[in-house]
Amino acid sequence: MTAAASLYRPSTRVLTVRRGLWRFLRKQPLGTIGALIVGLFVVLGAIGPYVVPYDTSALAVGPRLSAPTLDHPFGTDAFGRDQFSRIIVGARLSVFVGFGAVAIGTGAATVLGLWVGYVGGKVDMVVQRVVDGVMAYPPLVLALVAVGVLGPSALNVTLVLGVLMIAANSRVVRGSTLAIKESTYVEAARVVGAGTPRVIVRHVLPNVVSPLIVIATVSLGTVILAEGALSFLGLGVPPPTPSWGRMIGGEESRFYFASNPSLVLFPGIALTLVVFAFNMFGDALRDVLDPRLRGE
Amino acid sequence: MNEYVMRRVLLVPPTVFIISLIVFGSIRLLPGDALDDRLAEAGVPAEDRLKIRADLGLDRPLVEQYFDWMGGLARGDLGDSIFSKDSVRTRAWRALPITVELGVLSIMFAIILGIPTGLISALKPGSFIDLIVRTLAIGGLSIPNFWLATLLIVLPAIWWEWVPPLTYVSFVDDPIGNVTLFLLPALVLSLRLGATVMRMVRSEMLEVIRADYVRTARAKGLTEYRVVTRHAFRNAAIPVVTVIGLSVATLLGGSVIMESIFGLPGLGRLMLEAIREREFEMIQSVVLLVGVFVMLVNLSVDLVYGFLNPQIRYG
Repeated sequence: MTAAASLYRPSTRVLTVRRGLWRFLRKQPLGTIGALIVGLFVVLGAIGPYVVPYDTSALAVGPRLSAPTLDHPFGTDAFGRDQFSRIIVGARLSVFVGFGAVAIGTGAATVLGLWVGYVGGKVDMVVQRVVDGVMAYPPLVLALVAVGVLGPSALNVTLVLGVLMIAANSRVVRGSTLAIKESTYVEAARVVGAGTPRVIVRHVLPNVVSPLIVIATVSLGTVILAEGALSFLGLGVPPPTPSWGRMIGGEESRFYFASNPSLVLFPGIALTLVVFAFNMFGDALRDVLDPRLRGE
Repeated sequence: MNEYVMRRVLLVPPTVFIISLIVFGSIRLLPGDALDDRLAEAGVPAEDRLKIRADLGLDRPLVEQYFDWMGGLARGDLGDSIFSKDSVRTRAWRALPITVELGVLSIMFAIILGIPTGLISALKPGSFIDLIVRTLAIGGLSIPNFWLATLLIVLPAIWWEWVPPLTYVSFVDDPIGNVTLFLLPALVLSLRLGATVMRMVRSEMLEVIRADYVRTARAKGLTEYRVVTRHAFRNAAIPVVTVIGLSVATLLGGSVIMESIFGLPGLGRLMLEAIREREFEMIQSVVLLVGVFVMLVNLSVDLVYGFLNPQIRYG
């Protein structure tokens, strides 16, 4: 390669990325809004505890069960804790559980799906029956059982939700792998003498990345909802860590809704907004990256 | 067709076997002894705890316990409840119709909500109404059902001092009262599925409306209404059947939440109670039944699909 050519390459890459971004902004306005909300959410998750006006575990920073005021824009809960601060810090738990579970779920699913899809045969047969078995379950039911047995904690909730995602996601990766395996470029690579690991990593994997990104984005919303549901049912992360789900249904607010509806209103809005953002962003990404997945 | 059916049916026993292993394993092999903790919490001394374990057969090898459980299931014996005098079978049998009623009503609501909106959206793609419907559908997928249900109980109480009925009455005693009881939870539960159905109808219709046979139907001079209902929608509806069938698992998960919020004594609440009380014999039997039920629903969906869509029969 000449010096001129190697100088030229990186700049084209920057150009295509920039052009891709610009195209995304123009063609997917809803997706862009979604992406912005997702970005804000992740930033809040990272810096939340350092910027909130009140310590979230400090009791009685204001009057008990206050309606929204200037000092406490979202009101206070039964222990006199500031709801606004607790919702901001609650983003941290959702970010942790969401990204943690999706990393476990899609990571393991990629390895498993690529492997059984490419190798096929009896291994695939057995793995697919296990996947059938797991997929016969309402994920929430399995999560309830597993968290009930393991005990509620942020780590356990993340692990359980992550492991539960493996089955369904591995099937998507396997499906793509089966199709790619038959392609002529895989055949060509094998003819040239590339071994199985090399073919999988260099030729199959790059082609399943697009559907994976789309699935991961949408799964983030689903996992965050599931964490909310577990916490709502009392099988999520134990107090005092602020969790949106528990703020909606936990004992700290359940008995005070009628007198103070802002207790249930604001955490729910936060949760809906974040899941909505992930779904809009995921939809837009799918339209751009992988139109084939459009049929749900 | 026969070979296809045979292959699908033959896959059932191994899958059930694997489901039972997953259920049994996830309860027994995970670290910690839930029953022991629970008894200790209740203040039962250590020796008595050992005796209770022996009575329940928990000190025997896992393989033996597994086959014991399976043998019981084969005889229709789901095991005994530790903290209640009714057997697991009695309690599950009492709870089942409630969950089925909730599920069926939700599916009906989802169809009523999803199909017309999906059609409208697909007939005018890119229009203002399409944008509204699509945004609402993403909203339906995003809104936490437990939050919406809580709001539906809290807000009317504050605004109009009206609370939805929360005490269960059986259909036999009071048919109207019984159905009223299910309306709100079924509606909340249906939103997610309704949104999925809408998106599915929309994308399928957009695909089908470009097909040659639709152009032929139009060329014959049929009214647009007839083209849409008789020619396009009929074919677009096939995958919708699959989506509804596959959603049964998700609906069952959601019914755990709805039943606990709206005070319906169904399977979901039974499971939740069993998990809270750590009644693992009940958990494992009920969870296994749920899995087998969902699998059978999925199987029948596949078979119906094969019947509706001849193209895949020999696939």
